[in-house]
Amino acid sequence: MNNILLSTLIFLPIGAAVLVLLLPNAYKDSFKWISILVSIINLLNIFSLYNSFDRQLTSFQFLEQYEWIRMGLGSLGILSIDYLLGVDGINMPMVLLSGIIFMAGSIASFNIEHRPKAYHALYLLLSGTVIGCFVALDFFLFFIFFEFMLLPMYFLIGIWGGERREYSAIKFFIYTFVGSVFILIVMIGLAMSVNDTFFSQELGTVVHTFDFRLLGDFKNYLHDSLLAPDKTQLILGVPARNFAFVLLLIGFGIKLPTVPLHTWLPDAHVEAPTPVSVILAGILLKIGAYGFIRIAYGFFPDIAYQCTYVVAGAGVISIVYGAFNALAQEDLKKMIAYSSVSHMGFVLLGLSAMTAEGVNGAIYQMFGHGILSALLFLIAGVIYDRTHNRLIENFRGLATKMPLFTVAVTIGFFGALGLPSLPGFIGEFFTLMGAFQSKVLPDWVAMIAMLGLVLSAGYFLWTLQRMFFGKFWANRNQEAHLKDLDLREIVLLYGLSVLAIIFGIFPNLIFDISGESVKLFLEKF
Amino acid sequence: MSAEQVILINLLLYLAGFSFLLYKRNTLSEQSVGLLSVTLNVIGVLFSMGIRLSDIMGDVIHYNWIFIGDTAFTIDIIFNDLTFLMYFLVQFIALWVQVFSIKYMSGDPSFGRYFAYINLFILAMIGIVISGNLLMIYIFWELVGVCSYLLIGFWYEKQAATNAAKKAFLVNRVGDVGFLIGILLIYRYFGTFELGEIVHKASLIPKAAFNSPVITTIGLLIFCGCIAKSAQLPLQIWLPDAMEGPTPVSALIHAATMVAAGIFLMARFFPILNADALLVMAIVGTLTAFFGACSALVQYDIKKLLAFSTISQLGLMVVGLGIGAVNAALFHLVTHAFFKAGLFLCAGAVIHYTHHQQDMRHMGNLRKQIPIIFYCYTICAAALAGLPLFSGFLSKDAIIVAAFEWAANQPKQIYFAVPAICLVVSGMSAYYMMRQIYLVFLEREDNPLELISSGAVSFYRNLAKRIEGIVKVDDDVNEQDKLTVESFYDAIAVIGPMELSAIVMAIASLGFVFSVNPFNAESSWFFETFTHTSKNYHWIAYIAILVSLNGVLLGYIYTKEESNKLDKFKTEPDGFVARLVFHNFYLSELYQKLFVSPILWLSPLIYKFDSRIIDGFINLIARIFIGIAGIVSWIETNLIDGLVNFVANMTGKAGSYTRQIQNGKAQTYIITIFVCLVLIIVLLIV
Repeated sequence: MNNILLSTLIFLPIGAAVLVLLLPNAYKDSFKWISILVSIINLLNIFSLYNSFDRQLTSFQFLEQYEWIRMGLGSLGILSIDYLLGVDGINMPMVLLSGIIFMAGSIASFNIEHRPKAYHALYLLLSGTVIGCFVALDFFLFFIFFEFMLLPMYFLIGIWGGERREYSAIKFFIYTFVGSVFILIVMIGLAMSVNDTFFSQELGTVVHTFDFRLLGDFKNYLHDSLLAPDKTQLILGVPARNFAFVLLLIGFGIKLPTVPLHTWLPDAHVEAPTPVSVILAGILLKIGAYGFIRIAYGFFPDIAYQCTYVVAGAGVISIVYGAFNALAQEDLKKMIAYSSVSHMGFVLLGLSAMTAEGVNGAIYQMFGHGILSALLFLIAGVIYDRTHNRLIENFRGLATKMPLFTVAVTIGFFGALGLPSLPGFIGEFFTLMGAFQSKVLPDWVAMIAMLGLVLSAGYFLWTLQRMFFGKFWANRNQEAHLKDLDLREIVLLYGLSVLAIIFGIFPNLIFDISGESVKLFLEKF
Repeated sequence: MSAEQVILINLLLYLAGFSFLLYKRNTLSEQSVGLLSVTLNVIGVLFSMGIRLSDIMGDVIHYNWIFIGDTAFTIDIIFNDLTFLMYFLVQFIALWVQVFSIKYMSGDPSFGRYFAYINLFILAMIGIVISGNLLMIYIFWELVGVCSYLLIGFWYEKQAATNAAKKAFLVNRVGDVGFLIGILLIYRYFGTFELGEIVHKASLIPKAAFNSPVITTIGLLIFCGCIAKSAQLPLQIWLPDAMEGPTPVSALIHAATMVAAGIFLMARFFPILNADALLVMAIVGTLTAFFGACSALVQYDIKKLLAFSTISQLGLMVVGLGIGAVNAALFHLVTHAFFKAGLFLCAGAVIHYTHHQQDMRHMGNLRKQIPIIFYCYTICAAALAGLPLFSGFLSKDAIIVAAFEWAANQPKQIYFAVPAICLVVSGMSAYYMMRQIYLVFLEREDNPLELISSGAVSFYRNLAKRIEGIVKVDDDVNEQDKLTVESFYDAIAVIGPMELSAIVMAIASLGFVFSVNPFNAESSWFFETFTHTSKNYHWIAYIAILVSLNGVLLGYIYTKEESNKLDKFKTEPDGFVARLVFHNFYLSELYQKLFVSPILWLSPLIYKFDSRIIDGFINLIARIFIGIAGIVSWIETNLIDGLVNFVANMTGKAGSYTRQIQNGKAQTYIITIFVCLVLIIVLLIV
């Protein structure tokens, strides 16, 4: 079956990006509309994808497979790279999330005045590559998309960012780039170790493949190859597979980000323009988590089982450490950035538990955090747009002057601190439950993580109190600028709030999709 | 229409009320907001009675909520006598609190928002009550906490209010983390969240295994939730601060219903508690009851005193649970809900009529000014003090009697400390209620009457005139004052919503409402449904009466003395012990020093570590690379490129040097030839 729906999701935005580039600057008012139109079409396509997604099926759906590169490697056999797309229960929620967040981002990009052509071209390019990254089922293709989205991100932060934009953009770029080098090494190692048994019989030679479906199956590994599951190949006395897993941990850990590889995140977030922060927190971080599930855990289940303490430890440290850092922030956006570090820790915790609750909870947490962090960064953007200032201490009693805004903030903050009926709770509850149910983790791991629950309530409520309650006051005579939300912001903030509530009350919208695939995923352990 | 649909509709009505009122909070008039909200509540009360009569009682209804893997997480609605009791109680008290609030909150710019929150609260509270599984209870438990947060911080411009709201939420969060761990452990141990199944599985555990540390741990962790929400030691510090919220909210949430949710939870959970866990509960309850009562003795603030008395009474209920007298504890929960709601509503009325004065030292002589409130207050206070003929006597003495019985069955004499302390607490409650009545209502020499609003005075004068008109049937009275149906209605109408609510609560605090024989708790209708028997120790009840009367007497005498030398502008009483007690043993300050300050001190330090060390390390690496790049670049320009340039230069130089030879002058050529010849000859010779 060659349905082109997934390709459309990727290439429609990229085509639109080219269109924006070709249009003369005289049409510069139309760029944002193109952005929005493309996002709407994409979102509708994703909805139809979501609707027709078969929840009972464990295998990949909507497959698109074209032969792309066939390269003879002499005595080593043939290198086969496919253009291979597909969705299952693990990446489907992420595709849905991308649709929602890019929609929100394109509305938030509405008031970009500075070089709109370049901005929207890059934005559209980014949205195509991100979706491509989620739906690619060939490691090579995945890697190309993974790398390619750095380019628009670099420019989006570096040109439209705040005061220290160049430093942050470079830091972001180099950090992620180092991570991708590690991933690249593992990718080559995997490809060299895996044989496409079906084609190899047909062609009579070893066919090295990047197909995700084949990489995950131990049967396809060549005997005595570098990353073979029998661990015959050693590097410095340690099996090469262990090395590969650690490289992936670092590579995706940077993207996630996990402590101590997280320091690019606060800088990038603080300097990025609001829509880019939204994309960054909403989706890009999830690529790291997705990589963890699909690649690190999917292809190295044996090592993942051994290293579960490392992953759980990284998760718990991220939760607590991120929360402490968030508590210390003076800058609203930085506080939210650190809260992201803290909340993404739950993903690692749930994953390391290796139980149905934990892994499903981790996927849900990715989705839920995507929506909530988008909401939170939009909230920070509202204040910054009005006053060009984000310091918490510069504002007081905003509730009086901006009641609509305050309602959205309350929903966002309470969602993030884990109030039931909003997504944060479901993600945290099920990851913690997974950790408690887990046979591989001791209880105290989850108990330490619970400290994060108290701390997150602390910093969110403290911020709420300092900025929004009390007598109205703003530093540097900014009072007049603090008007309540305009229509665009209402649509954005309340739209996301409503989505958050819907997904918080009906988490089965995600769990139904992820359930079967996770069941299959867990059989590996 | 089946009963579960009724419940669903009931919940949805409150949800609709909340959303609609919040959406329209600035546009609807006060009358329509009040009418809408009260109507919804009346429907709820009617529904709850309808459900009682239907055949749903005792049923558990399951809906699937989510599937994770093969595990279904369900929504369970359990409807038994306990559910109905709370279902009705919550809505009934909420109804009168709402009626009260129409007057009390009138004129507040956020009138609509207030009623919206109340609707959300009722929704969440009903949610807890009907929940048949722990996950659901936890969900609504947190929602109730948020409502409490929103309502304590209702006047968000007040710093103290937002502080108190934050404190309440955070303290509850701490308890809830324990609760959450407990829930997750239960799931691991029993494999389900559903209460019925858990109880069933627990009953299959043999007696010896039941006393295992695992079960004890689970029980105590669940109790953590109760400790926070029901303000038990050591997490009771949030409740006195919660009085920053509007007074009707204190009546509804922080006295009658929400704080009792912990007791309700433990009652639901009772079959899984083993002896060790129960003993801990009994001890915690006793200490809470005692320390709460101590703090209540010396308060100046009318609401704070009631808050501490709430803590103390909740402690008594926990004692009831801990000694195994669940139904006595529940009975006290019910009676307490009515009389404490009544006390808070009356206190609210007092505050309203005295221009938001809350300091009891500035009150006094209110008996004549607001007689209805005074009588209602006295009835409710008598109930709280445990005087016979009032409801509190029945329930409190049921607990104390049961406690004596429990202690007698224990191996050591020391267990008698529990009932003894309960008796003392009962006496103390009589003392502080008497003190409050004296300070607020009775005639005092200092007579700080001027504070009372003229509005209140004229209101009551008007009322008195009307009533006089009704009573006097002399022929010579004015035509207007004649006893007619109209004048009777006028008299009723002039009893405002505040008085009406207080009267209802006062009536509900009378003993005969609960029992035909107001001296014997066992004959009450409550214990017909919720069986509770005590064989001996009825004589304890008479001692309890004596203790209470003693308390009243002492309260009267000491307060009379106190009122003579009252310093009205002192912020705290003299004497170390009194100060200690007044400030609730400085627990808040202790936690501030012990937990909050270190965290606030630590977090910037961690951030510094993050930005200096971790990020510094990254930047250092970057700098090292830039440095290496600089060195490489230097090598490149000076050495490698230098070598290349050197070779090139040398070639060029050599070229330009040799070029000079070829200058086209014959002389040079001859000299060159000659030199070369000589050189060749020399070479040949050598």
